[in-house]
Amino acid sequence: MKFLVKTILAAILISTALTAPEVVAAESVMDQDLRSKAKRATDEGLRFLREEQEENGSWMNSVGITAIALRASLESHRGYSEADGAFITRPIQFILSNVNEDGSITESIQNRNYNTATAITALQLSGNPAYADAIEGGQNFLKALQIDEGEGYDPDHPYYGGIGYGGDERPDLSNQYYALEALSTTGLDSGDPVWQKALIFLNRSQNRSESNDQAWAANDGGFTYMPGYSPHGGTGSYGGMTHVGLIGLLFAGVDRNDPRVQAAYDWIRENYTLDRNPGSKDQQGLYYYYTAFAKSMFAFGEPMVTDGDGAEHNWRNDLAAKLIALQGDDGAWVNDQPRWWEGLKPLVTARAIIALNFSVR
Amino acid sequence: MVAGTQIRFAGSAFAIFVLAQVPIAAYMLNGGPGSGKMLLIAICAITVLVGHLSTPIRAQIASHRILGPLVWAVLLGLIAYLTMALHEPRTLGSELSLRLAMGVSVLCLLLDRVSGFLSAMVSEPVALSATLLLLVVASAGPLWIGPWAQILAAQEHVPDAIIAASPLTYLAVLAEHDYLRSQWFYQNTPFGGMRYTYPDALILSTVYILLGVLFWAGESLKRRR
Repeated sequence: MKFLVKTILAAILISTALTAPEVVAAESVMDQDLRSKAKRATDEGLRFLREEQEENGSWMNSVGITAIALRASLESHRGYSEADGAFITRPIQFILSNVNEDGSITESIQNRNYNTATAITALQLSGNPAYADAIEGGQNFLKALQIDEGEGYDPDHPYYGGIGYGGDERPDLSNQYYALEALSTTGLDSGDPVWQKALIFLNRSQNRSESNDQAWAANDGGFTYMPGYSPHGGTGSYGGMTHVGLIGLLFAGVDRNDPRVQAAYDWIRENYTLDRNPGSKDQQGLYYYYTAFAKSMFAFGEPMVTDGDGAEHNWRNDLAAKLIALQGDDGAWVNDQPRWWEGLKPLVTARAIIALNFSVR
Repeated sequence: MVAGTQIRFAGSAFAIFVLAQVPIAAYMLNGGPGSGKMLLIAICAITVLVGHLSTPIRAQIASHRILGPLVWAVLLGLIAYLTMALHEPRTLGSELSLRLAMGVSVLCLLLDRVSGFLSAMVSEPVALSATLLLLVVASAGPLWIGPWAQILAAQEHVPDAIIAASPLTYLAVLAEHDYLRSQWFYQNTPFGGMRYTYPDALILSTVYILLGVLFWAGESLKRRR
């Protein structure tokens, strides 16, 4: 009888774990004191963001920065929504005021992809069906940006399937990731050709010769910025891109047990650190790395990571502790290495908050 | 303009058109984009360069100080337009190629007037060389500023000013193309990782035209003394 009860209880626990790994992991794996501190750090960061908000509701008059800051608020443990007031409604109105005829949501010709992708992600997270048209227009714009036969490229070209900044044709993994995240968040059909085309570009950005048909491909399983180029030198893999590459594979419908996903995860384990963006120069792109780390670890679903030396790490605890330590007295975060806009406090603070949001889920 | 001058003008323009294909072919053979907006910008930039180098030819054919440069600038714009159509047939008749051709004319006229102003003070070959140097240095601004870019970026609007001063930027904004994030520029300048804003095409066009008028007026004043 005791055995039967224990078996039933174990079955309940196991099935709960398989169906809702995130809920179990967040509440039972993360150090609760640290979780409380992470939430307080988030509150301080959100307070900083509210103080930095412009009169028009934006941050730095940038659609992209505004959308990321808005997302940080909407996804926070506070569960902010439009009902909470102008600090949510005004940025939404700012975003909507930059909707263009071609479906893009941007204030400039550069960053059209980044701005549109982050904008429709934020609009989707608001949960307001009134923004459906803007979201759909943004989806169509992002899909049209993908490099394919429409731009005169055939599948053999290294650019094929990629998505770039949107002001020129050069694609890269970072911009493709933002677009894929937006398309996934806004519910684009899994059968849409955009996913399979994106997978071609993803394969060509991974240092894995079994799935990358480019001659430069190495075999550490990590990802680089774009086929044949890393901004940190050569074609080396680095942290930020490996994490977004892993998420990109999952978005494209690749199973987490697929060798490509496993190779990326193995690179992450072998290079596990939160002291720097592994594989990068100086501390370039550090907070981009933190955000990508949080998203990919959450998506992959393993609460503990075993590094290359065999040590086990609770990624939630590690990430939260690191970000809390880096937070400034004013509640903000900033990178002393300003490349890729990481010298801009509102953007970096929003990224840090998003990373904390994923760690406490 | 007499018929003989018109024929010499047309003949010279055709020769320039043919000559311009050489550096364009070299650009493409060396891995330059074979399609898209970067190719169009490259065609226009090369046409401006070849056009400036052909200034002595223009001066020989038509010494009229107002009509000569104006007609030559328009012809160079036409050369750019036809060259774009040759390499990218789908641009024929498009608003994009018309805007770019107009931009070529504006740039060529400005360069002609700058060298005209300088030639009122120094010899023509020196004036032409100085103008060419100015063109190259301004166009390459985003490149040579590289090591100091991050320091300068701390000053608001300085990166925007460096970008706006480049004639390549003028062609890029006419094409609505973020050229600083194209593959070659992204890999060879720091601007791809910085926040910047391109200038407005209409404002730049107006500034270039006004500058051309100013240099023209300056040259006239100097020659009268």
